[in-house]
Amino acid sequence: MSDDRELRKGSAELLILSLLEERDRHGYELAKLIDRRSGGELTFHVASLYPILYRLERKGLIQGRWVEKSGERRRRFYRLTAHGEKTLALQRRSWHTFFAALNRVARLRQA
Amino acid sequence: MRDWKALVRARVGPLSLDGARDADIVAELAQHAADHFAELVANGIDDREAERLALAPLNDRDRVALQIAGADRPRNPAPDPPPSGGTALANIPRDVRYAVRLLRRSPGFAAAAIITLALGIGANAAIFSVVRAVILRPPPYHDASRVVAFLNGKTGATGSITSSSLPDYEDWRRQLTSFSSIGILSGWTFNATGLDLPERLFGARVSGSLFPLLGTPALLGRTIEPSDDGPSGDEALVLGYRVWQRLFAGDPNVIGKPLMLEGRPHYIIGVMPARFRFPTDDTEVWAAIKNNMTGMPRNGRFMAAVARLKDGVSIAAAQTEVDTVEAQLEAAYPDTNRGWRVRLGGIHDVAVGDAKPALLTLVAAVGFVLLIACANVANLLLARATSRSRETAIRLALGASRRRIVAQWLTENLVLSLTGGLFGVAIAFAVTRVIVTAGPPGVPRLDETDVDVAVLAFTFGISLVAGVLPALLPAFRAAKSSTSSSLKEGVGGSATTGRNRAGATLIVCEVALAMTLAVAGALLLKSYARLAAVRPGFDPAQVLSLKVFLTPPRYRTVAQNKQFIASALDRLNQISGVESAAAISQVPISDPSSTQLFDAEDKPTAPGDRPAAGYRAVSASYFKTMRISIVRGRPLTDDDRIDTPLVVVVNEATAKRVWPSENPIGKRIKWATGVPQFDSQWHTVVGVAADVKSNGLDRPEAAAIYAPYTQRMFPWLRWTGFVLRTQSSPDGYARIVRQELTNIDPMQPIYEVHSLEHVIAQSVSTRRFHTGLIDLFAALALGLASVGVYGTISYWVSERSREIGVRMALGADARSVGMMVVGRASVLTAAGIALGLALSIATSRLLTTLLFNVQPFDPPTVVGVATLVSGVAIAAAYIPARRAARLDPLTVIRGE
Repeated sequence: MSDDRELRKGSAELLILSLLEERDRHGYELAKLIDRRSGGELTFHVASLYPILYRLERKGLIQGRWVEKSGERRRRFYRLTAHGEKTLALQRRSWHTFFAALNRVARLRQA
Repeated sequence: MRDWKALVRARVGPLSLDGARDADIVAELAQHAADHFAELVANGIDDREAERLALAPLNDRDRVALQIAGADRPRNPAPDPPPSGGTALANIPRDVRYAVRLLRRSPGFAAAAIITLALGIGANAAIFSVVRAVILRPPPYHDASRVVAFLNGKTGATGSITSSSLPDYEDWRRQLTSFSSIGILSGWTFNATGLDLPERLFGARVSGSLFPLLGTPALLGRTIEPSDDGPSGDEALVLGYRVWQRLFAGDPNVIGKPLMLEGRPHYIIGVMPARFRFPTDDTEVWAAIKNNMTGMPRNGRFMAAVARLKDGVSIAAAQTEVDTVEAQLEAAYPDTNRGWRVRLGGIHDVAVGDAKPALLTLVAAVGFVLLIACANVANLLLARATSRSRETAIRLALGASRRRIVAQWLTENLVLSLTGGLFGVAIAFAVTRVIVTAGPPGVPRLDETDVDVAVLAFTFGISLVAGVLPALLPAFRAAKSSTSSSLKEGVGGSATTGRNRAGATLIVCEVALAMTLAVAGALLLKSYARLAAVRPGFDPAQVLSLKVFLTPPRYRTVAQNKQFIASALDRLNQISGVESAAAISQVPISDPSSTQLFDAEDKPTAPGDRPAAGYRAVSASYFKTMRISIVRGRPLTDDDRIDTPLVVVVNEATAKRVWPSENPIGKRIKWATGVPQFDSQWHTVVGVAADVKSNGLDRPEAAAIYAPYTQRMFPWLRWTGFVLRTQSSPDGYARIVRQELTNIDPMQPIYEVHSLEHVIAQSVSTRRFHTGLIDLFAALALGLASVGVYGTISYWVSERSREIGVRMALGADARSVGMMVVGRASVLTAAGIALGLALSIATSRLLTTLLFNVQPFDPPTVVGVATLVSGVAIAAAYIPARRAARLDPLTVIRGE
């Protein structure tokens, strides 16, 4: 169980950073996208998503700000910082290496 | 429309220490939950289920809080703290709100703590207000600390303020240089006429220097000045506040009006403020001495001298000078001054005098009650701390500093103690009302007791102490507890053991304090019982006493005086239901004794070594009326008249003092008043009367000599008492007695008409009052301590329920489980009793002056109290013991 959780947490950061690379998004949107794009395999809810967002924000990889759009409620949008972009590139590379290694050993198909 | 923020807030608790950030997070989570909910509803899920699903992830509040905190901290570098503890101050309102919210959630705990503290604080506030009125508040004199009283007494005896004579005073005034001014006064009874009823006013005749010396300004008009004290001129009169209200209804135009005192007009020149009561609380009017006391002998020691120290002169320096002058007076007047010494005492200390030790005992008693209350609250907090250890751990994980945790705990407890303080003030208000109305007459300024600003400030102060003190232990224990261990589910071993040890220590202390107080209470109770059981030497049942004060102009001569007494006895004896009536110049217990020096014919003494005896002029019927037995010889009879040989009856104390191994019957004495005409005639002792407790139940009878009033020659002793033995309740005769005496002289006031039983009860009222209060506080202490024992043992049982279950499963029966719990309580109680015993021995010195015929360490009392205390403690432990014995072993073991 806990291994699964660690793996998810690690991967979650990559997922979130990648999703924010496309454009600024708010928390609920991130949760929905992860859920949809993983075909329901990866699910984040309110109690698991935000600690990750806050940790990323604390590390300076993303930055949140309140945005008020007309006709909508106030939402907190996150955007990738320059530091976040670099980190995302690094993480992509290390995940890539990791999966390549896994694939060689365990004959996994790269996700 | 759902308030998502509130829904989220209700689930997550505190998330960050930064208030704004906390609100931010809640808003964001709320937004998320709202979006989720909207989507679920859009997918056809009903509202309630959608809400449940949207919020479900937040239900594990501790985990959510921990994870968010772990991720979010440290967010930004902490802003620089404001210079002087601003952060701590800024936290206060939030801490208070949080505390109130928490306390509302556990009303049982809050109520228990608040009631306990209210009792402790209320008792302290009430006693403080008494102490403030009686001891702390300075008398209303100008710079009262510079005013001293002359306490005159024979070497070795404690001097008293009312033991100075006019000739000594004149010498002091001429010779002493340490004082800027010296004044003297004499207690004086004024018969006031011209009012609706003749009235006896108690007041003083003062030297012209006295009022300027004290420096209290008059409320209306002016005070007595030296010019009022001349030999000629009108009599000037200053009214006390109460008599001004009582006789003149507070009329501001009273100045200049005459009041008929002793048949002469006394012109009212001023009214004093309510707080001015010099020298005693019951002084109502003041007039100048003028020529009213001319010819007073040097040993006529009944006046009070006071003086104001010159600037820069210490009381010690003044004392040295007084000693020198006293030695000179002794050399010059050995007859009257041998062995007499003056000690200077601060005027306020002298006035407070006897009341002080009793009040200090009360202060100690309520202090103990408060400590016990604090210990109880500390115990409650410890129990709560254990159940809140997870909360504390979360707060620590959230980044709260240990200081903030402690501050929050203190805030919580201060909210409790200040609320307790508010109720305490209410209790103090009620208690002081009772004290003022039911308090004994002997405590000076007791009626000034009031819950004023100073008392409120004091109450606030002790509320703070009561808030901080009990919280310290649990607060530091909480702050010390490790985050990880407390977060683990089954809060186990070490924390609770520590809590139990701390709780046990508190209980031992509580029991010790309660024991000490109970011992003091029991000793005072025993004293009081012994005092109440003292046989006064006369039979007070069904005896009415009353007094008249026979003054000029109508009773200028001794003969006129005797004439009134004779007529009065005649009329009183004829009242139906009166068995016998008698006259006496000193009503036992109620009147001070009038001491006279005398010489015994066969025992010549040096001038200074003369024996003294209380002089009592009585009618022949006195011994019969009072049922005082004559142990030798004969009583006085109606045949002892002015024209028959002079006779006296001495009491046993006199017989022992003068003729220790001889029969005093037939011996002769003569008075040594210093006035030749009274000192020339011999009086034959015809009888010895049994001693009576004339000066109070707690004092031994001093030497006294009874003389037939018909043979009295001294012009002093203007006061006369009457005693009547009645066939039914004596109070029922008061009206007719007044009427009969008024028929003799409608201008003559009659006062202090009381049954002798009432007189005796009054004489012990101060003791009864103190005993009652101490016992009340002891009972309160015992009650609180038993609550403490109950709480601690209950907690101990609940902590041990698993162990108890195992024991029962292994075959222990309910009885042995109950015994185990009671055993635990017994061990703690025994330790407390032992400690309390040590404490009561250490504090026994405080009690010595208050005890009567009981030693401060009285083994039977200690044993009795120890039995009581352990009984109460074990009874308190019995409830949790029974609960333990009823535990179902299976449920308990399976349960956790």
